[in-house]
Amino acid sequence: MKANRSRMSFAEKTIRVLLSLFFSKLLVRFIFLKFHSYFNQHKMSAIAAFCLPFLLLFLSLFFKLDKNKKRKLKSRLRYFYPHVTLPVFTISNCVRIILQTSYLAFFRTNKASLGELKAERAKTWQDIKRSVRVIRLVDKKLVKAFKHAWFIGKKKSQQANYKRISEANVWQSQILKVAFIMLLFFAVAVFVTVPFSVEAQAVFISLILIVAYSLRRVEGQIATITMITLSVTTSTRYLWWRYTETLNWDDPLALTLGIGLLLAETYAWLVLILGFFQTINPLNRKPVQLPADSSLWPSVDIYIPTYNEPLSVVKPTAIAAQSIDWPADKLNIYILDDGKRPEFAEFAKQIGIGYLTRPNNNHAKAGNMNHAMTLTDGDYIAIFDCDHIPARSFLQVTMGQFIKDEKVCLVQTPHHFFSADPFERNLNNQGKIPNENMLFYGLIQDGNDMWDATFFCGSCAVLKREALDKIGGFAVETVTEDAHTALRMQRAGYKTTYINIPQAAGLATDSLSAHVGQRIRWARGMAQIFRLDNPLLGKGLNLAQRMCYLNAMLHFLSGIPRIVFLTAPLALIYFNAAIIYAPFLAIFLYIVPTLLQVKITNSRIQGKYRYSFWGEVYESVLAWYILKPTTVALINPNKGKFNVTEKGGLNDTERYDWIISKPYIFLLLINVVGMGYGILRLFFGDTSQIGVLLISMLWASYNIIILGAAVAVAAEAKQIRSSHRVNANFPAAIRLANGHTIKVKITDYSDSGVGIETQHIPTCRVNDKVELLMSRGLKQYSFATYICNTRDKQIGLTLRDLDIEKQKAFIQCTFSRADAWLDWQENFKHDKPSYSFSNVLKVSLRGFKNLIFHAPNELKPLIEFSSRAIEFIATLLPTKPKKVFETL
Amino acid sequence: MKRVFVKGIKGGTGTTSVVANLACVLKKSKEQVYVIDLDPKSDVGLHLGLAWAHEYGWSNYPTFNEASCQFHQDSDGVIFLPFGSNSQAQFSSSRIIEGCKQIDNSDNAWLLFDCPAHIDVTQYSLNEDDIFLEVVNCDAICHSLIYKRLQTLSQAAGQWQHYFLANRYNSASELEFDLLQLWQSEIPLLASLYINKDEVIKEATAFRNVAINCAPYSVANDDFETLAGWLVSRVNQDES
Repeated sequence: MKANRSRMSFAEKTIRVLLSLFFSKLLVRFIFLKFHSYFNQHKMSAIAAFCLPFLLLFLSLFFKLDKNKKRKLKSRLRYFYPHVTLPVFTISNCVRIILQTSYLAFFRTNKASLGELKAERAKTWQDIKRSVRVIRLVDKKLVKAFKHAWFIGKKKSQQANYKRISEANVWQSQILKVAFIMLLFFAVAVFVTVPFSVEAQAVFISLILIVAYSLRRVEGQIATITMITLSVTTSTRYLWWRYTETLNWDDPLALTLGIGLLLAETYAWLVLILGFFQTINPLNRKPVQLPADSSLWPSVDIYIPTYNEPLSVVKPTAIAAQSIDWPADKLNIYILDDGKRPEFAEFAKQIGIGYLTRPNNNHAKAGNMNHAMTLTDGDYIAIFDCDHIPARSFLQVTMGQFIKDEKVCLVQTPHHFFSADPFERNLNNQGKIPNENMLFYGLIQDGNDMWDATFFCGSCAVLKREALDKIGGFAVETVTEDAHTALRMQRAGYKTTYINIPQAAGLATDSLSAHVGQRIRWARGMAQIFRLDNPLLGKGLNLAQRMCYLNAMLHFLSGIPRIVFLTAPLALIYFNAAIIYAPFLAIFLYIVPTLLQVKITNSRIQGKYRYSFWGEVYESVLAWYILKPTTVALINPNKGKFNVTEKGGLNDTERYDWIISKPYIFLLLINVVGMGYGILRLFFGDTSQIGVLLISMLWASYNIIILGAAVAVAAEAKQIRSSHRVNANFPAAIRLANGHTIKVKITDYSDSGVGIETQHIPTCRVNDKVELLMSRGLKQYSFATYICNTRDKQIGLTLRDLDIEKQKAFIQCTFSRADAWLDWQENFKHDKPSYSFSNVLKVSLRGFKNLIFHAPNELKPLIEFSSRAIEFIATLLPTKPKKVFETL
Repeated sequence: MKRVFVKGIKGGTGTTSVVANLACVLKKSKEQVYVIDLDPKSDVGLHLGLAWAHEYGWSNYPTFNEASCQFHQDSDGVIFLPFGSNSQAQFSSSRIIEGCKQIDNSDNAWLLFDCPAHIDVTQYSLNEDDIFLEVVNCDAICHSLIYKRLQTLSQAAGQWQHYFLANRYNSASELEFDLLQLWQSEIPLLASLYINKDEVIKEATAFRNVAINCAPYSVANDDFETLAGWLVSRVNQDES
């Protein structure tokens, strides 16, 4: 080492001496410094490193080489070419430099113009904001004005003159009534059929839209009915226009596709009109008080049919059924076990309820219940699916209807689920967005009740034995025995009723595939009913009831139309087939306002129970799967057997259900490719087509959003807890080991634990034993629990080793509480379409992310490659000059 | 004047703590409250912050007027009269009950008497507006005593409002749970509430205070509030 250095220094010394013959001392030092830096830092060859300083010296004869100047030059280069990487001379950098140079040459990029640009942008943004504000203000004023006008109208109706006219006998005249109805129909027919020029249509539709839009916040049923009338008029007019003016008879391909779309639209129109009819005036039936003397109350059998569900699911239901408030001698509970399992028999014996089995399993659930009817003799039969835990007040709330009206044969209560259904779980929106069920149980059943057409939903309902006997027991011909049974009872002249007060709660389906399976069964069942016992024909129903059944049926036929809507815009993009054969402006003026108006009206009617655009998501997920079974059942109704919906399971891993999402991924793919093709056509295609093409692409991108959301549902989220937590809010107490009793609030519970909140933070640790004191009426029960976690004021308690008596007491104090499920529908705000759309959009983006994240391993390199490629290409693009902080 | 007599069905049922806490709750809901200690143990004062060395009470004086100098007020504003140290009192407890009529003429004032367990109900001259609370614990002794008491009460029905109040109830104990359930279904005179067993009630006396002041977060606090509310409803029912 030492020798080495001395050798080096010897060579150096020699050269130094040689050089000092020609150059001054300072220059010799400069040459050596540069040499070392080139040789060591820039890794040049020794000769090059030695020669370069001389070149520099030579150049310095002509230029002034200044360190400061160099730094400035460098920083200017960094300013104009911020994305050029080191080392400079690579192919990609060449591209960057060329692109950036041309960008700098052709666009204003100096600081002043950039500032101008910024100011301009800010100004535009301000303008946009201001105009949004103005629109909002106008909207507000308009709504206010309408409310005011409405109010005045109402006031007028209370004036004497007005009253004299409105109460005159003339109105009772039958002829006048008929005349008015005729006049109304005539007016509607005129509005629907008169062909308008484009300008006239624009005026007409914008007037209607303004009225509908302003009415949307006016309270009251009359405003709703007005909005419905307007919607019916415009949508019918739209359909008339479609049939009469928009079919291209010269182009067979366009004609075929166009007729397909038109049929789908006709379906949608029919469903819309029937839906309006069904929900125009929901009944909101109230419970009827029972006679004070409980000896007059009838006897009730409670059936809990089960087939393969675990005992842990059935247990709480049976115990809660036992705790229903009803005279004990008039309440009999039976587990109807088609699984014929000895542990169920033992459990039934243990808690003292009936246990019934039968030699065969014919006709599944309906057969099971029919068999039980031969062995029991209660006047009424209450049915709970084995996972539906009833509240103690169930019979108090429902039974009054039977006593009030002898013709009532069914009282149905809503199905409420305390666990998240696959949509809610996989999209993580339980309690934020009303789930799929809510529209039916919150609105449609109440609407049906108005027309005496309440459907029986198989659980959480009480039926009259007499009525069942009259129609020969539960219907066994279809896989949806419930709807069919109700239909038969209605035919026999009985009334079905609905009370929209949740009196039981159960488990939702565990997985999307199970959920889809359940819906397939319903769809198949409805189709079977239509073939075997068509509610449109046959005796005993009135027109309204037939309409309600028709709508229920049509709902399950939504498969084909939905898929048509999801693919329709592609016809124009791919094949240039004008499926709506009309000029761009006419299409725009007919479709967009009509759609808007229908959305506004539906948002008003369904707002609390179904948010805008979510219906499309739910429907799209199911569309493909109910398509086949409904079609098959319509052709051959006897095919298809009852499949039991799986519940009470646990999803222990996060996974993506590729099998179930296959159809949507396919649809998504053709839509995305179509969008790409559409963009190409925009640039290189026929310019006269641009308007129509743009509308098609807008539609396709909406479809992509909806499909993205459908795809998002298929990512099965992990289920953390084995037993589902139910949110609650009621007082209780705990007694600590040191004897202190502390008031607490129960915030949630499950069958194996309780979450509590306390204002006073006691000194307690995990695994401490704590007595939980809960009251039911005057009775106080004490449960031995252990602390499993504590966080601030929140304490988690687990129940361990409860004997059967304590289990019973626990269920009575929790699940069976009369108020346990009451706040279910109150938690949701009224729909706001724009907000709802942004939610769907978010979900949709999540769906795309899921697709990429869960992609199969074979595809992963491709995805990685393409994402890298995109990233790389992005770095090539010219960028704005960036400010550089000079380093010394 | 609303008069409430509180007495243990036997000794040691926790009567005095019920009286002291009840007085405090009533006072906190802006009611005028007087507590008279009729028990020679003279321990109401200890719950209400009186020094243990304080020996004097009404029994040390010959007349009510002279004894009224022994009225004390605790930090919450409850006015109370201790028994004192002379168990051979010169005038009887019935005279002090009579005398109390002078101290407040308003109808809204509450007069709570802490009665000793050994003196029978019939010894007090009660009228039909009076409420007599007999404190019981959920055990077999009290069970038999209640049934004995029910027999004697059936003769005196309607002369005053008589109720049994379960104190120190521990639902974790199977016997207590069963007994209370039995009583609730069979004894109409059982108050429709109970005071839970709570260590705080015991600890509070160590602070010379009442449980509702020491631990407002405890169940005891709610129990006594319920008791006060229930008493108000009894009195109002009586008036209407």
